[in-house]
Amino acid sequence: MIGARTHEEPWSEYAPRRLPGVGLAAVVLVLGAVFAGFFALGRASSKSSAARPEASPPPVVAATGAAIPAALDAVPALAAPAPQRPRTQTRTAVTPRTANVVSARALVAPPVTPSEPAGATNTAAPAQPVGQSHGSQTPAPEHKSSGGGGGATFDTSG
Amino acid sequence: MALSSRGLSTVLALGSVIAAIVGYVIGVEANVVTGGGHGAAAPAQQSRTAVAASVLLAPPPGWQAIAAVPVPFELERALVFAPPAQAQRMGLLTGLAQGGEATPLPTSLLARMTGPPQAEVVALSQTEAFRYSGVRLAGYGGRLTIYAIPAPGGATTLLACYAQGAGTTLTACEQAVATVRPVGQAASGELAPDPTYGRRVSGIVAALEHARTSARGRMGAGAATAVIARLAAGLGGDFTRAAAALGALEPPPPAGQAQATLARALLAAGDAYAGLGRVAAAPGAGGYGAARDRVVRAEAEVAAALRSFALLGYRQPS
Repeated sequence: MIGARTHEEPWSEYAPRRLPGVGLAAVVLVLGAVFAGFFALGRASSKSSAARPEASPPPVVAATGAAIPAALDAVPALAAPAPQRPRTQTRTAVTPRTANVVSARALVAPPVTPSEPAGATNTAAPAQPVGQSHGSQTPAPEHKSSGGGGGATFDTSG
Repeated sequence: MALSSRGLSTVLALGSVIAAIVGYVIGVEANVVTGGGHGAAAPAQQSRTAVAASVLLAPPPGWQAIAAVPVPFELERALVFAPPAQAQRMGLLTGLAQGGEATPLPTSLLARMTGPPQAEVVALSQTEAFRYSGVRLAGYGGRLTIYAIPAPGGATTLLACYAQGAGTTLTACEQAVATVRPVGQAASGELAPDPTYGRRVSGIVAALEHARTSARGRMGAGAATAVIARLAAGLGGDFTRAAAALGALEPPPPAGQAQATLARALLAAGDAYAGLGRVAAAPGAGGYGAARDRVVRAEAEVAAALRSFALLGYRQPS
């Protein structure tokens, strides 16, 4: 009966009573559209963090109290090289030793005469001292060498 | 009136549905623009993984692997992940660097840095890594954060997040780095600085610094040669003893190379000071300037070795 009555009654009788419901539904849908937009925005913005469990920057491993200096302390520059001193004092110290130097050279490379090759010195009189090989010369026993080592054998002063 | 009301309700209903669809699409697109172009990725892209260098990682959704390297430093087996057609602006560079150096970063890269980066130890999904943020390279004006995963006895895996220009961010790259898992090599182990070891090294360096600053304060301009000779010889012994004390320490694995480098630098500085002392003790022999320059170079090596510890996460003593 109710269904038949529904079919029989014109829309004009129901329309005024259904309009508020339709309007409410429209408002709900509009609000739904707005919320759908926000939902989509929020869902997309958090998609990476929601989809992957590690989706956040790597956390820092706590480490406290571990300290080492990162540089050496600043210090004054080292002193510059000392200026070169005049060498006059050094020369005066060297000059008196000239005689000894010459004496040492004579000991290492004794002068030889043209008639006596250097090699003959070793074979002339191996058992005798070098200073006595010439026979006519006599050594000067009271002469004392002063650092040349062997200066008593070759007297270079005269 | 009734028909118009029915039509109105129909229009409202259809309009609401259309508005919902449009609102959803607008919301998604708005996030694409602000989020760097990866917000609307398909679920299949989110779970993909890639092998780069010696690690397995999940690149940001939508990022592609390219061979070109837009960051001015070279790595072995270099591979870049970047948003399509944006590799010059932002991306993730992966590659390998030879191990065995005092720091996880290769010397060639350190030479290009215009300042010290901030070093930290971070935890990735299955290993730890050194993170160097605020890296500034000569010839590159963008932001750069480098992650280093040293492998005991092997190469170091480097992952560099770079971004330059407005609207770019390192966040997506760093999130991808967090997913890194070592492949085919041992994990890095614990990389965090050891406080006990740090205190011992710091004590050795502090004692040496005390002697050094005291002596060097009397070796400046106007110092007598004999005084310089005596103080330099003493400093030579101080540096040598510091090297010996350092060698007696057992370093944590990440600091092994740094300690060896510092010990060698201390020994060289000790030799340099001893040489300076010998030269100063014989004023007429010459060579003082060369000996002094050798001391300066040796101390620079010591300072460089100390900076290596800063790159391992050891802080400056307060």
